[in-house]
Amino acid sequence: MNECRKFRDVILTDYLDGELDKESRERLEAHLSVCTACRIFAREAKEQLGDSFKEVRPEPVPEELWRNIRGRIEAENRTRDIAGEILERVFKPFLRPQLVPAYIVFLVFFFSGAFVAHNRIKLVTEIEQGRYLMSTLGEEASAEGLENANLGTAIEEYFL
Amino acid sequence: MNDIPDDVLKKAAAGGLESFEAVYKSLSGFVYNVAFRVVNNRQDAEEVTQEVFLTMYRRLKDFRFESSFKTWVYRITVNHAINYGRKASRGKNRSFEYDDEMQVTVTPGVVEAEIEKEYVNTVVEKLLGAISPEQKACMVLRGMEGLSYKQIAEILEVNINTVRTRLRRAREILLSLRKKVEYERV
Repeated sequence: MNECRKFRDVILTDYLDGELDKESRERLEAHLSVCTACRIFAREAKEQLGDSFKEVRPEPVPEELWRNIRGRIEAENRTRDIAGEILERVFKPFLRPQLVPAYIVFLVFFFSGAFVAHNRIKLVTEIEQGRYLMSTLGEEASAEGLENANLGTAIEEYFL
Repeated sequence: MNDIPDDVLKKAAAGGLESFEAVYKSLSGFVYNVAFRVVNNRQDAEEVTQEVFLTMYRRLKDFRFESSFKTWVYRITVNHAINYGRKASRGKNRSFEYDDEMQVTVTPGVVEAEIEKEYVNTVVEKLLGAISPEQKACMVLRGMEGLSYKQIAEILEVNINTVRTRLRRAREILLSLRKKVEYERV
C-alpha cells in the first residue's frame, strides 16, 4: 500500500509530464501491470488532468492596457526629467573648474574648524567631569568629618 | 513567447518607447494570460500586467544580455502574479463550489465542440481558484507553457522537488474536484 502511494505520487508528477527516465518508467509500468487500483488511478489522472490546460482558450489582452502602461512610463520619465533638471539648475553653477581652489580653502577651514570645536568640547567635558568629582568627593569628605566628630564626642562622653 | 531581436531589446533598454512597444506586443499575451490564470480575475490580471511591464522597462537597462531573456520575463511575471495572488487571497477561504456560473448556456448555432471548450474554460478557471498562487504558477508554467521541471525551478528559484511537490498537491486537489464536477454535471 505504501508502495502504491509512492507510485501514485510519481503518476501525478513525472509520469503525467513525461519527465520519467527510462528505468523509472519501466519500474512504474511493471507495477501498473500487476496493480489494478494504480492502473485505474493512472488512467483517470491522465483523462482528468492530462490536457485540461492545453484546451484552455487564451484570454484576449485588453486594448487599453498599452495606453495605460505608456501613460505611466511617460509620467515617470517626466518626473525623472524634472528632478534631473532641478538638480542640474541648482548644482551646475557650482560645478566650475575655476572654483576648485575656493572649495579646497573652504574644506581646509571647515575641517580645521571642526577639529578645534571637537577639542574644545572635549576640554569642556573634562573640566565639567573634574568639577563634578571634586564636588562629590568634597561632600563625602565633609560627611566623614561630621561622623568622626560625632563619634569622638560620644566616646568622650562614654569614657567621661 | 516570441523571440525579440536583440537590437529591439537594446533600444528598449536605452529607454526607447517605440521599441518597448514592440517588446510589449510580443509578450503581452503571455504575461496577461499567466497573470490571469494565477490571480484568476481579469481586473487583477490587468494590474499585474501593468506592473510587470513597468518593472521590465525600469530594469531592462540592467539586464545582462548573456542570460536568457525568456527566463527573466517569466520570473518577473510569475513573481508579480504570485505576490498579487497572495495579497488577494489573504483572509479568503480557497474553496470550490459547483455553481450556476459553470452552466454554459447553449446558444443556437454553436457547435457542441465549442460548448465543450467553453465548459473546459469555466471549469479550469474555477478549479484554479481552489489552489494556492504558488501551485497555480507551477500548473500554468507546466500546463500552458509546457516548461520542464528544471526550467520551472529556475524561474521560481526553488528546488526541483519543490516544483514536484507543488504540482502533486495541486493535482490531488484538482483531481478530487474534477470528480466532483463530473459527478454533479451528470
